[in-house]
Amino acid sequence: MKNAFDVLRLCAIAVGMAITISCNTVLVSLFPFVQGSALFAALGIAGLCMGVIVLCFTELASRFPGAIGIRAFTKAAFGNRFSLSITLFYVVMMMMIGGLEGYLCYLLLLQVLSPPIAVLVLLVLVLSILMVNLSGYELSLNLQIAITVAVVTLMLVLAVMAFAEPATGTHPAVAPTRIDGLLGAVPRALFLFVGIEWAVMHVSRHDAFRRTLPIALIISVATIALLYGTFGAALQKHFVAAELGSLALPHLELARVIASPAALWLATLVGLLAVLSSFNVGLSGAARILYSLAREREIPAWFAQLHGPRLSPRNAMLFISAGVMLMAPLMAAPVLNTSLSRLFSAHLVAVYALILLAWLKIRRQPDRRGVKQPLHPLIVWPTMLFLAVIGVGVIAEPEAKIARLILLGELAVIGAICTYLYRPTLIKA
Amino acid sequence: MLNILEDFKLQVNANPQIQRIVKSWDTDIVLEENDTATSYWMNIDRGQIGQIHLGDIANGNDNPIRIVGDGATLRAVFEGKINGIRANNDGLLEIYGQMNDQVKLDAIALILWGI
Repeated sequence: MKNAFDVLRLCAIAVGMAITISCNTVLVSLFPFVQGSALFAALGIAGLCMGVIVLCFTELASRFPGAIGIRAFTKAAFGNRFSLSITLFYVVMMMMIGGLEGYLCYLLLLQVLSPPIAVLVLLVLVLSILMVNLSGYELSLNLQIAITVAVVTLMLVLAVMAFAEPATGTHPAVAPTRIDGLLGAVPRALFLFVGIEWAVMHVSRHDAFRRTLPIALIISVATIALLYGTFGAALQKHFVAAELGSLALPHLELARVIASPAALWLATLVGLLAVLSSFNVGLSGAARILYSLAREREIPAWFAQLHGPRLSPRNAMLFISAGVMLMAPLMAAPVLNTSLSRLFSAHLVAVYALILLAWLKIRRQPDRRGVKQPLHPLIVWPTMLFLAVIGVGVIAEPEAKIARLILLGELAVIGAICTYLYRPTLIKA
Repeated sequence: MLNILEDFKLQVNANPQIQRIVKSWDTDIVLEENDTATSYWMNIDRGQIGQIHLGDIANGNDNPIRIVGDGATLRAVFEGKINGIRANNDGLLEIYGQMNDQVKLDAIALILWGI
């Protein structure tokens, strides 16, 4: 019974982190590449890759229990400075996702409120989550479980309502999917699973690495693939592929097609709960990464300041919240708006490929600590190479000029920060 | 190791700043030396470290904080010679338990030794 509750708790954290309204926006970005049953093929391939990734994460995490996963694995595999760069890269990615979430939440609120009131409500929502997190982790975990269950249920209800409605308009026959279309869709589909791996930070018993955590993560991957597959199928029933690619809030458009006031309310509720859920987990997780780096004295000690009776990392949380709120209005810029799915996919594929490479390096070490998962390098190598190929493919797309510039800028800034932190000094240690 | 833990207990219980932040903290801490297969158990009751025993004593709390490492690392952590978070991220120390408990232990180290 206790194990079942642990699996459920870890699933709620994993799925809660992965389900965001930006995922719906990224989901529709798959349709220019794949339609019909090919959508399920893309989700299936991404799900299989994610299955390998989460098993690698589980095995690596079992060697570093209690540590910040991405930081510990990459430090052991690639050394301190490169690890710091990857960790900061990951935090920036989380803040960008938070910014997009905030912007989409604003668009959602605009459906029912005037712009100033929508901004105000958005601020109140973000500040409420911040206050909950500042008051301690336990409350945020219970809140997370409740919100995740609500979001999954509401998305399924919305999809079922859409299936029950007769299809709107005429749908042209689905064109056969080309292999390059499938390869273009998989990195975007991978984004739908982002954040699942954060559940490893919530393992409290060593034996959980053996069965409980891998089972919870695999269940979470399958749940998300099924959820977005169902939702994608519902969208395809009512929209043609050309329309779908340009929808910012597809779940809201789906609710409009159903033309039921209840559906519209559900869609609004789904959006708001998904934002609260992902911001909640993202805030505590990203803040903990910054806190840990500050306690390691890799970044300024300001980030390690604790607050309140539950000793929340206040400054790190304030920094992440401020970053998210600053990035949100930037997401409205058309030049950025069109590059987002490409940009996020490139970030994600790069981070995951490096994690798999870290696993391959660490598995070769003679140290036998940790719990081995049923994985063989002959599975991990091809998965890593596949991720590298599709990641390069996303950035090499002719339309990816803006995404390339943003990535280069980001890498330059992180490189500059790391160079500054490791600058030679006259004081000897 | 027991001497180091007793000394740690005296410092924690006598420090008003630490007592202010851990005043409602009730937990058990189990320390495991993986090179000697020796365990130590500490009880914390309302922020005060009470009994310290050799051995992992089952006292009804099935979810204590469990810190595992070799004897030298564990001693260095509780003497304030090394930073627990760095040791954890370097794989020298395994920590199992609730996040807020881990943060409390880290805050104690920060106040006592400034590391």
